[in-house]
Amino acid sequence: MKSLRSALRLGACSVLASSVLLSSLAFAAAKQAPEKAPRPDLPPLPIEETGAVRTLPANFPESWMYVDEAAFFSMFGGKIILLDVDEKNPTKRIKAIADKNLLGNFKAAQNRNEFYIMESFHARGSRGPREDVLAIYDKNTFKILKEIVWEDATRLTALPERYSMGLSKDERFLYVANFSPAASFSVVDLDTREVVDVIGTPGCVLTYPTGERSVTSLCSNGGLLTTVLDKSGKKASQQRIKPFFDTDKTPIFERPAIIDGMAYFPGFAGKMHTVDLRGEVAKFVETWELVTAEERKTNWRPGGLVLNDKDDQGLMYIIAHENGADGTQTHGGSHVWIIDPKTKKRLRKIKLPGWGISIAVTRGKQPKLVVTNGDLNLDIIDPKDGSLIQTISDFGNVTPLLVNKAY
Amino acid sequence: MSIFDKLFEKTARSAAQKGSRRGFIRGLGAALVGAGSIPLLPVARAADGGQKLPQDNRLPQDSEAGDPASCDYWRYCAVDGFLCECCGGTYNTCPPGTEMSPITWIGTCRNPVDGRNYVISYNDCCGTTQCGSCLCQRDEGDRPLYRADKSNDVNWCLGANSSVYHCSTAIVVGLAFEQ
Repeated sequence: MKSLRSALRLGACSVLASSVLLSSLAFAAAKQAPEKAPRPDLPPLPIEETGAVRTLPANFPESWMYVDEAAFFSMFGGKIILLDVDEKNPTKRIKAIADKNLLGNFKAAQNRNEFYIMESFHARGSRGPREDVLAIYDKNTFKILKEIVWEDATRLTALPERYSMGLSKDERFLYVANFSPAASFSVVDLDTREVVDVIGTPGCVLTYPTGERSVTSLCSNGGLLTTVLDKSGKKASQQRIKPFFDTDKTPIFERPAIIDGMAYFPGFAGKMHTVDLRGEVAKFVETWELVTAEERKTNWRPGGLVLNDKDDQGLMYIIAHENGADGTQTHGGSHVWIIDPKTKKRLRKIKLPGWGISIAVTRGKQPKLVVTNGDLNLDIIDPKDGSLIQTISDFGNVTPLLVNKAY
Repeated sequence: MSIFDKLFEKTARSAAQKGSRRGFIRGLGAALVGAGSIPLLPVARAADGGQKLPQDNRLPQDSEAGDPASCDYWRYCAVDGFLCECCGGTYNTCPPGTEMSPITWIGTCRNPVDGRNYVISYNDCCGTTQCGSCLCQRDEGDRPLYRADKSNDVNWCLGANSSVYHCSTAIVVGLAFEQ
């Protein structure tokens, strides 16, 4: 920073200097009001303490969200941005930021005052031995409580997923997906902050919390694998659930909306697949149609990167697009469909102001949609009437591909 | 509209590239399940399953057409990443200073010149920070993580010394089964 200041002072950095000059001119233009005469009769300002660092409230407002900035163009710069999406003042939206290196994975607890970032580092930037580290953060201070280094550098590195990590129902155990490409997951006891087991899940990936102490993974044959843990978090048993879709012909998204223990996996072509995760072992329940016969004629279908989310009332929100084809499944859509999974009815269709790539929904009785748009900014939308409340940009975002609720 | 349309203007795709491409390694998914672990090399599996090109009868390069620096180039049908062609490498070689990951995902793309479907291995080049040029997302035949062999969402540099992703190649590794 000191050298940057020197460069500016010497005029060595013309681009920066130009920016500063423009900013200064704009500032000067804004200061048109006549200057008041100095008031030496006023008491001097009190001396302030240095070293103060802010903390966050115990309970976050419903409009605060964790934005997963994947930093696809410079993966050393990944981060989690705690953002108030209701805030109209751009300078007050960012609440805190945490690093998340090399496509790190993120999970927020609801009842523990913690969040978790699973990330990777090479010893010397892009080279040298790789170390995978789980960072356990205090959500109020954004300080790391503990770092746990993986014995093998095998954690899943991929585009952001909601279920690359999962929490047990009582939030005692954290499940962390590994992929080397041998698939497994690590179980972390959050009370002792130790890894208690690493469990192979051959051919099956991701960690969908199931029942009290089970984890379900989605398999390459179109089935499921549930791993049942004992009280200490170690593997007790595993059970495979037979295939319920064809991974070649009728693929599904690996991104379910899990509502009251029921997981709703949308299919590429618009068929919903319901899986019951309430018991000790997952059960496939049924399929049902998201798309009407009329819509099918023009190939309406779900699509996007993080294409769905849920609200606190149990409704599901999913991005959809017309003229869908092989290859469009991750490209996003022009509409959001609001669905009641209990009645399997679509309640509303919302036309987005632009294009939607990923979606999240804020907490509470009056939820708002947070849509990562085609410009890779965030559109905040009222789902009641589809109106655009505001577009949030310039918060350090480059590729904000996933947005999570904050508690 | 693609995720990264803001950053990469993509032209219309060739209809010829939307031919039947699925099923060339049907059964691989099932083969993965039940294995003690999955130290499989998806590309190696695909090549085993497909019809290999005779070593003494390689297709001449005039049997291809198109611009390898364009996202529309036929080999890129399932790609999602920066094209090495724009990063100091080519469509089938890595840029200087990087390392090619030996394991990767694959697609099946139709060569519009000879009308054949080929198994394309999208080996990532690794070890240097992201190239940042010619981002291309096609995703045809792409599958989520549960079909790792066809999933471009994974950082496939996991097979290299450095897990830092730089760009993607598109290498012909075999002829696909015709359906």
